[in-house]
Amino acid sequence: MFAKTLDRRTMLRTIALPFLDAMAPSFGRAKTAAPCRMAFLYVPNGIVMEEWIPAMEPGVTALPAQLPRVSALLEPFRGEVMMLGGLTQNGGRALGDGPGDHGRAGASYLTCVHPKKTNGRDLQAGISVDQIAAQRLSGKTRFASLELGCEEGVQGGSCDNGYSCAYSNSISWRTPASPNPAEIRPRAVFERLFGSGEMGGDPAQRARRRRYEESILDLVRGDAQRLASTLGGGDRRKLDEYLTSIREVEKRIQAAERNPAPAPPDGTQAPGASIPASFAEHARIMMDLLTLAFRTDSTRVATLLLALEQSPRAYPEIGIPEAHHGLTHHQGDKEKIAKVIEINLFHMRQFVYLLEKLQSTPDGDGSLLDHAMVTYGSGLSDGNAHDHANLPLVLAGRGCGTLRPGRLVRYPNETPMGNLFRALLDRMGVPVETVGDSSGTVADLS
Amino acid sequence: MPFVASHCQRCHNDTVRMANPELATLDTSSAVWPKVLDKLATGRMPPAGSPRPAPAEIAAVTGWIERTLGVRSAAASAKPPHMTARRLNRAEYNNTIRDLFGVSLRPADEFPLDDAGYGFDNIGDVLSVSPLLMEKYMTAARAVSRAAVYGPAAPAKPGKLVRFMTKKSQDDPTPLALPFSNRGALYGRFDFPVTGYYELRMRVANYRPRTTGTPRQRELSRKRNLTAAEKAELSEANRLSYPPVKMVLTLDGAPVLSEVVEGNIDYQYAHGESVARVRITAGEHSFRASYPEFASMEDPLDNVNLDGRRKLFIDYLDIVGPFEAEPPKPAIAPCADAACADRVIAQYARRAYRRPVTQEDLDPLLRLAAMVRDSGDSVAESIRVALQAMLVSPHFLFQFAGSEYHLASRLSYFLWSSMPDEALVRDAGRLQDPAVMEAHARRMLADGKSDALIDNFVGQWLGLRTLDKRKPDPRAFPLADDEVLEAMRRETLLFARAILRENRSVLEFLDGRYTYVNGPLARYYGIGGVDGEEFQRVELDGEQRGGLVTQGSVLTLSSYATRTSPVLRGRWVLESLLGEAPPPPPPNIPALEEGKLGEAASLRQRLEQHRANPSCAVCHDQMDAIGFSLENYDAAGAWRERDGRFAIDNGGKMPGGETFHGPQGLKGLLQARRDAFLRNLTEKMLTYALGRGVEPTDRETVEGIAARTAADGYRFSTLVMEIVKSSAFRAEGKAQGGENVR
Repeated sequence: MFAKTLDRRTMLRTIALPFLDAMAPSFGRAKTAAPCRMAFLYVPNGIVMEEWIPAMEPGVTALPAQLPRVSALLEPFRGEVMMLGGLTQNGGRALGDGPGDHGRAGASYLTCVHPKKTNGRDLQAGISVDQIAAQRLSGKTRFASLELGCEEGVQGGSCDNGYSCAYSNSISWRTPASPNPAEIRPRAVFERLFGSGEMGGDPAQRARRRRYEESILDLVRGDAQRLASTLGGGDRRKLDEYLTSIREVEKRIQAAERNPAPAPPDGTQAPGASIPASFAEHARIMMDLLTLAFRTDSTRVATLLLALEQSPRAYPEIGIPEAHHGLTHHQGDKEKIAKVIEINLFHMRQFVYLLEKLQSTPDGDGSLLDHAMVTYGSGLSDGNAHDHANLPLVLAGRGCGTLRPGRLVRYPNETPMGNLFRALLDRMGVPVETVGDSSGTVADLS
Repeated sequence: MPFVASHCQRCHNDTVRMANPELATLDTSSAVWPKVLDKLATGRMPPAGSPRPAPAEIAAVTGWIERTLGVRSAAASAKPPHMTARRLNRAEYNNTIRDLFGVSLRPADEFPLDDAGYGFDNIGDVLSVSPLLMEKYMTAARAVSRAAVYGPAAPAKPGKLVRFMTKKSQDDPTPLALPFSNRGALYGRFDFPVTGYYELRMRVANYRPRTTGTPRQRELSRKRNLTAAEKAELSEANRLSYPPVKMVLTLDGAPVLSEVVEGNIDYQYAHGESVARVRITAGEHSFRASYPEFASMEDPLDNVNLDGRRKLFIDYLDIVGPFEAEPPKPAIAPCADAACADRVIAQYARRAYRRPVTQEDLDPLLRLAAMVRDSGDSVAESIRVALQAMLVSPHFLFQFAGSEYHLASRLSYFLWSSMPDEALVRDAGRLQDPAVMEAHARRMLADGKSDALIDNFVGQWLGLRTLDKRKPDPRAFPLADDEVLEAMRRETLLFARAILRENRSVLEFLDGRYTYVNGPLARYYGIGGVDGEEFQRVELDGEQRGGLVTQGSVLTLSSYATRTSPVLRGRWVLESLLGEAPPPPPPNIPALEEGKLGEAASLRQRLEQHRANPSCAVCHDQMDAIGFSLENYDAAGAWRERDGRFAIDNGGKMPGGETFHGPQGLKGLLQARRDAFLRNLTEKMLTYALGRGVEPTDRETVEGIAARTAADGYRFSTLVMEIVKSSAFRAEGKAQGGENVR
């Protein structure tokens, strides 16, 4: 089993070579190189900033010896993380559209645009940074990206003052009008990654079935195209979505032919069929799956929505029966602030678990953490005041040697978050001109 | 313009800035004026509770806006809304698969959540298709086609299929655990793979304290080396420590095992397993193991020890089987040759596409099947692959406007959340005839499948689906366990079902003097005379209970986990019942804070302080007044006379000066606004029926439906009939000159 894994990795390295060639000289990579991965983790309703980052003037410094309570949990990884301050998501602000900061915080977080205020009919945000990378890297891995979550989306027209629930249900957007739903069922993720064995039969049979499925996709594409020619605008948009999705599934089938689903690494077990009720357990299983996906090079891009923006989730397992969102509107009430901090710590502990997993997973000449760029943060800083400036953000991993962790960088106020995303895309080898409202890129990461 | 000054500018001004401040400036170039005309004409502005202008005043001002500003109402100037292709949502997908093949798979439970618009999850514009969903469609189609052709997957040999346990406490986060019941019950559902015999094995846990023992009992239980006589004496004394309790296991409500648990205090799990061996047909069945007499227990906490552990409960239920399993029965009879396969494929295509199929539809399916056979696979496999293709075709996954058959589908997805049956398809061409339409609609409402309308429409209209996310804090509300919360939800659904099925007035939603409770919920409400676990209808005096606003479900879902919120409750009433959702707070207004836990008096005072701010007062005057009238119900819907140290003050005063007290006062206020309630219900139901938002152009339709419903005694089923006979419902099924209708 282990030998098999090594073989696969060698093969993947070969496939990834063009990209690595481009990257190697500029960053002085060693000769054995693993591909770079990126992941974006989201926590809602802001973080108590006093417990997150030390106040400082713009500039760069080593991570202070004494970190505030929440970020102090990163202590074991102080050599692997950077704390970034001063980044702003201007698209999350009202800009004349009135209340709805939570809906906008979620929708703008990875898209860096100001989402359109709508109950749902004409959603408009932007293409999110993970999807920019996924679309450019499409075909290199079996899945262009993975969208994971730990809280089921909310139904109902408007979740936040006239903003559709779709805005807070997803942080990943493949087009400005199409959010990627997050998968919250661990078993479903596992089966996507490693198959559920349902194709069955011998290799010849499996190959036939795959061919049938390709024919099925051809057939229904024909159905949709004939329909589209008879329909008007709105309906055609629906069919376009359908056709795009057909193409995606087709690509996945083809990728699976070239590159069949790996067996899960030794010792991994399929998660149970139901969603764990315990938040920590759920989050950790999703993090295990994220790690597995990276480890098997099934994808290089992922998002994980630990909870939805404006989450009403309560955390009885840490003695907090009240809804998270309600608590963050604490109006200075010390008791409530203390509870919010407990939730911040609880979330952060799960993130630290992911860092442990990534660091302890060998990958190429180092660990997965060496070859990843993982952000953890929120679309609000102070949840009580709905502040979209100076967002809490930690960037973990060494990004294949393109990042120099262990430092605290405070950017000038109002630096667009998109500038950071641009810098990360550069390091993924998929440079773009802009991400949403980015005004350039950021320095001081390397 | 004095009208604008006296009726509008209190909110629409530069200070409060409650949307559209240009009303203050009378900026005639603004695009807001057509909307103003609509709001005035439908009575939505000024909002409820504000002084209502006389009809003549309204006529004068609308005339002025039309003449002086030269605007036409949005309704008059808008184009009719065009239909969007609407894909099946999760509930519709599952039901359609059920009705198409008679299989009990629920593949859509694995699909991503459907997005919702206008408060419902069946809105065509909002339901999108993503690559992830498409992947799941493929997987689901594979599994469904396999079950249909080869029969459901069955275990090769008998074995333990599942172990069910309940949560150990109301906030126990153990994964997979069943709901917590103070009364020690264990209940759930299970999908039995094939028809055959199954063993249901359950074990009783017994933690009844010894403290009730006699001195002699205590002496004997401490003593070592008991004589045979002493052993017998102790054992008998132990058996008599508590009265025996009957334990019953039911399957779909029918008892399959009944046993007496003696009063023994001598064991925890010593009762051992009790086993029932039952023949069960394939498919999903509900089971319940419980102590029926506990349903009538005055205080369920009598079954809970001081350490939180229940005295008697069902520890686990194992399902073992299948024994003597019948061979799985495929939904589709086997075919011997290609001609038969082609017939089957054509037949299922017609049903899956819910309309006659054309050669254009059929040819590719038949070619696909032939290709499968040519590749060396069986005739059965060729049918299966064609079925799999149908199930991912847009013809199956979407409803498209454009034919008479679409109208049949629209009707059945409205009333059943599923595909039309044969009888309806046969009459598809005659549904434009109101008599035919009504006859089918009445027939379909009488069918059990119309429970889907209750679950999906009523469930979303009232927000019942959020109840799971709004669980009361178990420390503060130990009586509101999962079982009672589930009973609350069921109460509301049964109440709505009665209004629909018995053709009663929708006004009974506001103040109907009856409800549905079982023993536990009756105890929770303090309603006497209801014993046992079955729900039954009870007549009410209307003092504490009667009408939606007094039902535990609604009261709980509009509260915080630890305390009530007059604001949330007021908002729920305005939004769900009167259709007057308060606008979002204007920018730069901090979220309203309601003071600290348990200090109701300061809660009221703080809210009053807040209302001193005119920006807040605009909405909170109404919301808070309504919410405070429900303060006699705690955050988990139980009746209370005091909140902590404070007596309840359930008085409210509406902005117009109307005062009222308690739930009775609120119900009077709602009755006085019955037409606003009916119009709101009409709009919500029309939205759900059409799968799109209700637009200004639908104003006449809505008013016509509401007026005819009111004239016929406000009957719920009349409302449904008027909707399905309305031009808005029928129009889009008819070929007409719309942009996208062919």
